[in-house]
Amino acid sequence: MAEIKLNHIYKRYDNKFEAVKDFNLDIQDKEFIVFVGPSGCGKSTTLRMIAGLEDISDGDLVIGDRRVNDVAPKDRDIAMVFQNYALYPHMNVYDNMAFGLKLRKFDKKEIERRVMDAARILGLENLLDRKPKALSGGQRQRVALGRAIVRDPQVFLMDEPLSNLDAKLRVQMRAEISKLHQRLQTTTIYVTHDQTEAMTMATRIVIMKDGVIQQVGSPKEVYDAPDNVFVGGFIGSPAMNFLRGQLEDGYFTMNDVRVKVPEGKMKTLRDNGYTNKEVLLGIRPEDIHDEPVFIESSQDTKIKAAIDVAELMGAETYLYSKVADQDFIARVDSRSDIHSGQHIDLALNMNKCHFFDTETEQRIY
Amino acid sequence: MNNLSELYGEDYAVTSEQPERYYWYKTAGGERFGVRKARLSDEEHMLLCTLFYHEVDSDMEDPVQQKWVSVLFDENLDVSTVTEKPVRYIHFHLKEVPSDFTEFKEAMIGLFSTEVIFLFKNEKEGLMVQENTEGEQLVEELEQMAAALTADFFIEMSLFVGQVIEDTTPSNLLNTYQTEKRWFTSGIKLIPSQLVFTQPAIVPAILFSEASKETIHYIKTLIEPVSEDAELLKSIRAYLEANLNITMASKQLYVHRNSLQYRVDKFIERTGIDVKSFKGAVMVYLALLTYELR
Repeated sequence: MAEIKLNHIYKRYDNKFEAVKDFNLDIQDKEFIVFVGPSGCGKSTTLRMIAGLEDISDGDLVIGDRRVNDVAPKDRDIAMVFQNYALYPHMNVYDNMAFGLKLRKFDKKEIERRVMDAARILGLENLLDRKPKALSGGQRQRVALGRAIVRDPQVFLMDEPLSNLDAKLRVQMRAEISKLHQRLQTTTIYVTHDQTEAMTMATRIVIMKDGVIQQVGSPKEVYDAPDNVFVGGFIGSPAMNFLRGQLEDGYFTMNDVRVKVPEGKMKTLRDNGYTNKEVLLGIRPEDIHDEPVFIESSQDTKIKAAIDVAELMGAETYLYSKVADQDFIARVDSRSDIHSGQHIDLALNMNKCHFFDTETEQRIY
Repeated sequence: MNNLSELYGEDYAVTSEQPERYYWYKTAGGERFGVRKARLSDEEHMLLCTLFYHEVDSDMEDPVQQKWVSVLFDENLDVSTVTEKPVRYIHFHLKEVPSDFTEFKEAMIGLFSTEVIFLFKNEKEGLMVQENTEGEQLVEELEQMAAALTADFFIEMSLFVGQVIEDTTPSNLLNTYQTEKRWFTSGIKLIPSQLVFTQPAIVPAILFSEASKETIHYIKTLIEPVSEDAELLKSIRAYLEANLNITMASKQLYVHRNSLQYRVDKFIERTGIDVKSFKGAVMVYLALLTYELR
């Protein structure tokens, strides 16, 4: 078990490209940290620097109580799980899991104990004689996890370990990895581009873009209070809606559409000099309502919408629509029975909305 | 050389009956010498490796391996038949020298059946000569193996799977080796993240290595309207790699074929490139590759 500190970490390549810029993070013992962001955001590079597969150009990496920038990867007491099933095709499951321990000169009995323990945890006891070819994708990734578990490292580093699995299996393995973490309590850093994985698994999420941390927080914090437009749009599915408009007389206006801004929010906006200025309103699809009771009580945030597409998802329906020529999505209860082409009233829950600066894209409130 | 001989005295040799006890080096002029391993500190060995070419496998006794080394590394074409069966080279390149090189080497050798001949050119590169040239799963297995070695040794590697060589005359074996190695080197430089290269996949990389920045930029901009849509790009790549077969690609992506069909149509609509036509597909494939270039 270990704490990890990343202080002012940079990664620069020979061609001067900065893949990671001033990365600062303190990871507590037993945390499950998820690095998330679009491809090329620097999340894997950061993970690889922690593993020692990439040199750190600048800054300090501390695992436990020692600075490990110059410590060989194999001496950092970490174990990695990759997107590709990291398995030896010609070895059976048992030997695959035992191999790393043999390399580290563990005695035979200890190897057997650890492999059997891991096999039990991962439900692989009946598959120990099988070769990887005879296993399903999920079983293979479980063996790859087993290879990491037997090492009993201070830190697990996982680089998109579920990307090769189909959607159903991904959901299942997601839960299994979370359970595994609860059981083993090993500090884990997990990289993914999938915000659902990040939201469901993380103790804290680190959202990255262009090599820079955009926000660090618990899944709830980053969902409820995104620091900027990027985080708001990246976390959550369907994504947060962003509507461009002016703040006038306590209203957010888009051409001839006006919605009342709650006084508390308006005061902050006023205090920060946004009166009569253009701002971005961010509102999540589930905060746009079609229930008559809600609309009745929210007359000053009511909008008229022509539904372009109504997508029935099961319990919910996604309504793709436009207001003042700007696209938005509402997520409503499927019982509403709304169809494409219909004209309906919707109301925004302005207590849940956010305002962002149009230039800096930072959240104002 | 005299200075080295003087410095290491009895521990210096040009031949030995116990070659495994020595580190062997070769000068640029081809002079070969060894220094007893016990005499050298790690730092001294590293220094000598920097100054001279380090012969990793000079101590091997297998005459078949010796023949291969002689033809491929020493470029000696006077060797009689090396092999009569068709072979395939699998080149490998390690990003770092493993600190426990012997164990790493043993692990790699142990991973293959006896039909594979391992040749280490130096501590970072070499090749496996595969005599059983069948193997549909080869690329996938090699990817898994490379990832497993990285997980166990924290050493990353790239591999290049060559074509089957039917003409096994020493000159053709050497020529093929040198050509493939050149291609592999270009591939690693251009797409360092790729684990396993194959010949069809490496050809565009070679073309890019000789293209101007402007050309690459131009090719990149062909799919700019969708460049931010990672999901769409992944789908199109899978579609292209499944030989434009929607059913196969959708299975690969675990999505319904109608969803993929929709994504392909969306791609065509947004880029204006008919990716369903052969020429359009080639263009899009090249454009996708530019996003992986360093």
